[in-house]
Amino acid sequence: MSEVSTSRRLEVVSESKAGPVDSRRSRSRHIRIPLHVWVSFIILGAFTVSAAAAPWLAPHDPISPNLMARNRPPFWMASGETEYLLGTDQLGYDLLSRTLFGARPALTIGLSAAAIGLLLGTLAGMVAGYYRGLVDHAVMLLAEAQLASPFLVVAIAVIAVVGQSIWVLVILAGISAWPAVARAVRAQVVSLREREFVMASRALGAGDFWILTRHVLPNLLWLVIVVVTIQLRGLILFEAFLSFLGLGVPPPQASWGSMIDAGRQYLVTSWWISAVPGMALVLTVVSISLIGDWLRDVLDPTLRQP
Amino acid sequence: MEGLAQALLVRLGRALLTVWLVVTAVFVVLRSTGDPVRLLLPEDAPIEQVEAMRAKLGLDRSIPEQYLRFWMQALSGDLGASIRFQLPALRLVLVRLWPTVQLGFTAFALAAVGGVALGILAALARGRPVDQLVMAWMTLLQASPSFLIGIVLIFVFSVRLSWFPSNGYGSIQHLVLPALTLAMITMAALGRIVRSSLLEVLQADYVRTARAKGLPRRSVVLRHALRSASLPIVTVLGLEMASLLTGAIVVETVFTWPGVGRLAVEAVAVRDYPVVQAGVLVVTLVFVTINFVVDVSYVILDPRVRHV
Repeated sequence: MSEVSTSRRLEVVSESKAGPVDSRRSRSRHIRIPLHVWVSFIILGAFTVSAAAAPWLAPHDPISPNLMARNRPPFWMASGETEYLLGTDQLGYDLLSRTLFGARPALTIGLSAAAIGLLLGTLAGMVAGYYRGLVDHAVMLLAEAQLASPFLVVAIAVIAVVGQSIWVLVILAGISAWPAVARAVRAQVVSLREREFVMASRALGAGDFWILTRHVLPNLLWLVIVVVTIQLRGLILFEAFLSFLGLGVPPPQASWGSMIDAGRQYLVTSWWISAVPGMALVLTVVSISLIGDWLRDVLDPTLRQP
Repeated sequence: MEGLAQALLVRLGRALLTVWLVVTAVFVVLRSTGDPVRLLLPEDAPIEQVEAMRAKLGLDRSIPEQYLRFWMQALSGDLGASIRFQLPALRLVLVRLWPTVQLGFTAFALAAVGGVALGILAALARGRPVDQLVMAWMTLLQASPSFLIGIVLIFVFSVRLSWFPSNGYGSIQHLVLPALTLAMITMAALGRIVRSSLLEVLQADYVRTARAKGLPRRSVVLRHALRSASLPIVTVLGLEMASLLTGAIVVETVFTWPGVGRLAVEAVAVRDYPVVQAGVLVVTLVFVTINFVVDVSYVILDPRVRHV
């Protein structure tokens, strides 16, 4: 998790002012969606549909194995059959069905955690950036401290005590996301509060709450969308990591991380047990990355200012 | 000089705050979920043992007093005994620290060399197929969780080619695949930064001058551009150094590498809570120390970051 977030942190900073290629693209008026972003949207859409409609799409029950059909290869291989399109695992679970159902924890945990991180981070960032002073110092110190801690290890310790459940995952992942959001929001609010429309509103007698909700918040929308998309990648990986370690989504519920883990011992004979959920995970995360990078280039307000 | 001292103090404060936060989080989680004795002792422990443990931990005292005692014990290195091994938890963790450090440093070196090479390659071939290929490759790597990269490497180099063992510890051969796995994501992150900062520098006047003087492109890039592009590169390397440590936890599990990460994960599975706690504290301490050292060397090397 942390290997994701720390490298990401810097990338956002240094790549946004990177080459002339990026800034030229963002200045063009007509936003053209490149092919790879279209493909990413389609892939992500497909996984969203499969998460929502898994019970109707899945050809088999994801949590009741067929012990008579273990380690069946995908249909294109010599002994594969169309009954189990993507094969079965060592216990006879249908991999296609479980991969479809596995989109559920990945997306729901990712999105709920992103919502929590968004809420905490925006609130903290707004308060810090608007009031400045001691509050600002305290909030930012806290954010820096969390970014400098091995969060995944702390998460493992928390799960050791509290026990594994989806709720624990969502809350931990949500907490992991707040500092990055708070930092971006704060920087934007610091510059917004000095702008004329905010000054004008204050001169007219508007209170802090009015200014924050009516003038500051709407101007944070795009920034927050970019930051959250970039965070979402790390959050989905967070779920996969912990499920892989056996500390995430409790069995027998399907999760890509635990499915990949299950196939590890069978790499010699049945590589597809790990490969099928692995492909799903990589496709999802690559799609989110590409969309996030593209959104950042197009929407990042720091690039759009003349 | 005053600015330097102040900057160092701020960073020391931040490092201490981080340690304090993690220790406090561990304390809060431990105390908020009911009786810690149940976590510290096996489930079938006799009543006398539970009572003795409770007295030893001072659970009858007030919360602030317990908190202070918790700190005193942590500072004196008394983190309890492992339930599984009946040995001091801290010693178990420290024994496992060396393999993790070994893995982390090898991966770090691999990532540094590979990342800089890939970044230069992409920047020189900018816009051409080689650049696009390298960029696509790095995007794919960054999106792949390390455990999946590890499994793919095991499949290719161990199962199919049988070049390297898929697990175990002891020889250089054992180190290759885990270190490569751990290095991959950092390599990709670094490669992107090297590419973008090189491209930025290559626009600079002095680079154009060097080119106009007739210097070959290769030497302009390696001698002039890379040197001034090195600050963001060093920054990423510094940030990644600490995060390789957490990455190691997952990689160790994939390759059954006997490091702190695998110890902690195994300890969670058997509810060996003292070992988990000691593991978290040791990893945090190492992690924060690395971050602090990187931060400090950065402050000393670059005067511009002092007023932050």
